[in-house]
Amino acid sequence: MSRARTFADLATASEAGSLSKRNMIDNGNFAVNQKTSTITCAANSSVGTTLDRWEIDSSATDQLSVEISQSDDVPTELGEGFSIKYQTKTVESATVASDEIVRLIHYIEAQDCQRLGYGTSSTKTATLSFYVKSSIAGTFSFIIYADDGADIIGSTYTINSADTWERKTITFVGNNLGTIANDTGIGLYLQWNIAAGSNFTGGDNSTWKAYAANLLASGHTQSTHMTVDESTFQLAGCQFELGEVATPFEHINFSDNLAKCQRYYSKSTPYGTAPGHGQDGTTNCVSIDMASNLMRTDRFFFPTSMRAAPTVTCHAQSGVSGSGTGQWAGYISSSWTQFTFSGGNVTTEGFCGSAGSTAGSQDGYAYWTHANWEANAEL
Amino acid sequence: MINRIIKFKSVKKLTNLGFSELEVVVEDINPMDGKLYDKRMSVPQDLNNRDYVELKRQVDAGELTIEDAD
Repeated sequence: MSRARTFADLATASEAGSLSKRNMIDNGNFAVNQKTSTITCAANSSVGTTLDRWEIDSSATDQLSVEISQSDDVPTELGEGFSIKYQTKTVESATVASDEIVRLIHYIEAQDCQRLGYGTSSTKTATLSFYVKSSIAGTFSFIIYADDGADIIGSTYTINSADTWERKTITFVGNNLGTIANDTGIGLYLQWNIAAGSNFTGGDNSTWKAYAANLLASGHTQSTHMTVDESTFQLAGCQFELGEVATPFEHINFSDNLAKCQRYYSKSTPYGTAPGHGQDGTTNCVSIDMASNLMRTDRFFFPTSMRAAPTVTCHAQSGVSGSGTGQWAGYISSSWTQFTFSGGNVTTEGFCGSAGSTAGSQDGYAYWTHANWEANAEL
Repeated sequence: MINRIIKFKSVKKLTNLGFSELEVVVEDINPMDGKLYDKRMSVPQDLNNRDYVELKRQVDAGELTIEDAD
């Protein structure tokens, strides 16, 4: 892209009201990966947080198992960040059934969609841009779904060459069918379909319409990622912005990116360390046996206010018999013991822990405990 | 849209601990070894929490029962 073209596009974006922080997609450069590990998604299941803010959904599949990982393979012109990498690890045993679909989804919070003016007389056009690389070329589909009004629009795009980064841009007119409530719920689904059965491909979603299943992947024809072992699909540099042109990908600081993601998912282990038991000493706390085997911790605070009161998962210290989720380890009666622990009084700011059965503890005594936690308030 | 797929194994009240949250067990895949395990979580009864919304949908549909606290 020439410099003159770049400046012209930025001027257009400015007129659309969004020169700075114009990308409505969080973690569009896939740099934030709090879970660290490669994520496995089994047949007919979803994983809400893979790389931060990105969900994998494999619906109605029978044998398909896929992995989602962070890759440092990015387009040269993007110059930074990572890509999200889908890879088939177990294929479907038969051809793609009509009700099967595999997709990567990014949700935008409703209050952050207000700039789009959907459902009003000033509804605005927006443009999606992204880099894609697939081991299989062909015609793929993308849709936007407005949750409050159950409205949908979409487009196909063509991956021309296998194993080659290509940039795609798609412009969508504003939605005048329904508004998006100004709240903390789901505003928009942005959905990249990787493979889709015939129930989802037959309609025409080139304009905003009320949702129907055959609009979910209209025009999608390449679905062999489900049946080709080790096939891959990668995205990088995803951007959704006001206006009719795709401006250059907006680079933001890692710290800003991480803080935005922690509104939806956070954990107690250090960044770069996977959540789960086995992370001794990263969350130590004192627990009090209040009375009659009712153990309580002090309050844990999240790094930022979360979108909603999150689901809390507790993990224990390793090396203690029975370590598992929902269990913490406490030093009681001169030895480490394991007990079931639950998060409670959960708010957007924090939670406290409690256990109801702690053999050997005494009323009024304090105990040294090891534990880790995850908090998930994803849309 | 297609509902998210969350397979709850059990749901239990935590009123014995003085909490209004629900203790939920789901089957999950351990990324370390790829094996299935039971993941225990505390889910606030908050309609903005995605797990609670799906849990409530399954309870209302008669597919899931909330057990009393221990």
